[in-house]
Amino acid sequence: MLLSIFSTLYETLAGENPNYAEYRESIFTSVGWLTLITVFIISLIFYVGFGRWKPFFHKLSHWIITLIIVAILGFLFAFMLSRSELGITDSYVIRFSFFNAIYAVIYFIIFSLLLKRVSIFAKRTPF
Amino acid sequence: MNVYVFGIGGTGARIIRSLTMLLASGVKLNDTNKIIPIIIDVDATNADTTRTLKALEAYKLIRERGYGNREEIRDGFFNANLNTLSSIKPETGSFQKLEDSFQLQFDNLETSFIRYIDPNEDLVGDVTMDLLEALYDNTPPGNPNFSHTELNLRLDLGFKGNPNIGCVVFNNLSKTKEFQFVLKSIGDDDRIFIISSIFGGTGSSGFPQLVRLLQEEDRIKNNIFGALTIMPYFKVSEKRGGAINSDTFNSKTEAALTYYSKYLKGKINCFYQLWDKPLKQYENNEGGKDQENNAHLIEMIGATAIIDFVNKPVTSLKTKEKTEYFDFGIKTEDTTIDLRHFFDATRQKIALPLTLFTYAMKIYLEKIPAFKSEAFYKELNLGDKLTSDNFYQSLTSFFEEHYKGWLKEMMDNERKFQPFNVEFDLNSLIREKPIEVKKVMGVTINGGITDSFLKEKLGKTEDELKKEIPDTEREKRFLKLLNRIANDCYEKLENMPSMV
Repeated sequence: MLLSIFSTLYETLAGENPNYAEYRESIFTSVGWLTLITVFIISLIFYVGFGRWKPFFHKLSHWIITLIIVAILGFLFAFMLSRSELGITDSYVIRFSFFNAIYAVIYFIIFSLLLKRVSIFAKRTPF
Repeated sequence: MNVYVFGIGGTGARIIRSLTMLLASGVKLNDTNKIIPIIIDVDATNADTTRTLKALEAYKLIRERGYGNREEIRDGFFNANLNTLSSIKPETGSFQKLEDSFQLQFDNLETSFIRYIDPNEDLVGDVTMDLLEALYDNTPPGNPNFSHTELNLRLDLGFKGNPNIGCVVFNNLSKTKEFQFVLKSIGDDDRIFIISSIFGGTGSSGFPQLVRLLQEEDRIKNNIFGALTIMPYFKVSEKRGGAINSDTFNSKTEAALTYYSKYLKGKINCFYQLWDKPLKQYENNEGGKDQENNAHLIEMIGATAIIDFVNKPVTSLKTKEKTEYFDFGIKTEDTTIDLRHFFDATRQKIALPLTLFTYAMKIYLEKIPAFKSEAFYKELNLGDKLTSDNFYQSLTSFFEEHYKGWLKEMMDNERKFQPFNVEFDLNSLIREKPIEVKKVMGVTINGGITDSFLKEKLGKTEDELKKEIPDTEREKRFLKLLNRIANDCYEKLENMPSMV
């Protein structure tokens, strides 16, 4: 069920790619899980790790920096995994990577809203 | 137990001002429900009295908004339930509502002494008038300037060093509705404390009269009575034609003490007396808006006498027939006194709360407004409230004008009391005990009380307090936050400065 969710998520934005069955078979799932877990860990570090330890990386500006990092990582996960699996870099790979970055940003926003209530210094970040 | 503290005249008002500061800092009163300061000053516009009343009003508002006027609060800043007479329910009978004021007003004083005694001029030509002139008219023969004779003294500016007039006026105190209310309100376990100076007019005449008027009430005469008399501790400049002359302070003191030893014998349980060498000369202002003397160390110590009296266990108190006398000493005489000069009991009970309150003052006035982007600031809604909510406005005014002003005045006076360097940073706040900044190879490993330290502690403390105190009581949470951060700063200090 979850396998098809990732496929649905990516194909809704990036479109289908019938030329390479590997996307549906493995790439979408691997990239999907890697992105989701990594963003969750980063959110935990921001809100629970740093956010409960010391007030040095907790403000809106720091959150925006983290958001950008998360977007970059999302792009790189999709790009690198696709390239290593398929051995090519075409427009679909770029499109897929871009939309994975978007999803990474969305995951980070959702995790921010859930985890900020357990933070001390980042309780009001981003609002 | 309630405690009624009567402050007579300008000195009484100034000591009550100091008491207000000590109580604001969290000095504890054991087993006390309410402490009711009552200022008695015939000088209605006396600036010392006006200043004290403003401090008391601010305290009352802060406590009511912070703790909801609850009596069981025993810890932290503003914990003592300092309140007005109108907050008491009389022990006996019903009573009409009083004005919510800390001042007890005399009636009909906007007049001269002779008009006060004889408002309808019925005594003109009467033999009684001859007696009054013999007692009170000290006009030199042929002198056209009558304005400073005792008979023509304006009463609404005080008695100007004439206790013989004060006695007559104070006798009418018992007719005021506030005084009648006091007599009805005092319960069996309540204590009474009277503060006065012994060298002016209002205090030295009012004190024995007040004791007599209170103890005429059978119900009250066995209550515990304490008193503080302040002997001369300042001089005033010479003023041609002025009614006040500090060269007569000592002789008036001697006369008053002689009177007290005879007529107050067996009436007071605990008698506190304070004196300091008069080092400072104040401007010779005979009352009204111009009589505003800087706070003095003696007044702060006078306030500690009240704390000492209130906290004495009942079992340790002597009877009135065996009056106990108390005075106050410091470790060594210096022109500038700080925390090192006090003995351990005062350091623990008075100096430590003042230290915490001073840390809180600096953090509230200088640091918290700069921490707008921190979570604790937003959780407490300080963004809107710091400048518009009357709780925070009162707190700002209390810290900035009343408490800081009081500290600065004592620092400017002689003898100086300078326990804190209020204009320096938090690491250098306590005089003679700076917090060391520790560096290893140029890298700061312990910066003392830094902004990072404060943000961390404020954030963590607010997070803890939010679990116990809901958002409907944010003011209470804020007062507790200030108290906890002050304690965190004190832990950096480790202990108070002491003499080598």
